[in-house]
Amino acid sequence: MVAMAKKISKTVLSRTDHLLEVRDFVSEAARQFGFSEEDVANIVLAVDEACTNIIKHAYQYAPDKEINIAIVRNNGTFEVKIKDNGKNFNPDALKRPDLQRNLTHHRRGGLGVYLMRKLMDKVEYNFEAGHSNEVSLVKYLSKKQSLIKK
Amino acid sequence: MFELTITEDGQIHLSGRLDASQAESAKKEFDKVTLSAVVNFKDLDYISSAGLGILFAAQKRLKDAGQGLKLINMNQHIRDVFRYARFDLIFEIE
Repeated sequence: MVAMAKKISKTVLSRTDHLLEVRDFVSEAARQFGFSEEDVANIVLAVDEACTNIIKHAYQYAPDKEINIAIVRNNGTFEVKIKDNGKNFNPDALKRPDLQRNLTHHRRGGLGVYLMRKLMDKVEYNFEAGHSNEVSLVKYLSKKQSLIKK
Repeated sequence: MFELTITEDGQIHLSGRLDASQAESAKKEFDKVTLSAVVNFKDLDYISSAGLGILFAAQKRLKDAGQGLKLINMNQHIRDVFRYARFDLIFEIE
């Protein structure tokens, strides 16, 4: 039997006061999927950072734009796809932050993107030039957690 | 919801969630801190890089003036986030 991927989604306006709603949506889905509380907290923070970047960089604080958050659950894979229609923003094109240098020179650029990569198993960006951006955040359920779930 | 209060013993007590939606008000409160202080995280449930940035800026300003923040009572997740960001190297964390 082939397992079907389960997908749920939510769309919010591009305002930081919607971040809590996004976090609640993601944490409930991650918890139901069987992640430990530590993993749930890490996934939620990564999604928060992605949405904050969209509000700040893609929409440049315009409050009336849309952010779509889709969660796809398939076997042991939990993927959060976050889509916007704002200005193209490609963090992969940016130099990775040199944390040691930042600390020495008291700078903190790129911390949100750095945390996303640190907290998730896979982070990918897709762009349609001038139209939309999509970031995919993936976390795998460990074998131990899968067994507990069963 | 995020709240910063100064307790009777002079500690800065944080509570609630310090994300991008609360960053501006948190910055205003931390801008008022001019001397070394203990920041109590006991009732802080959540912090994102927006909140880390506020603390980072406050610590930089205070260190430049020969002062500094000491952070206490973090929950395990927030402690991990500080470690990932290597902020454990610029703050005294107890």
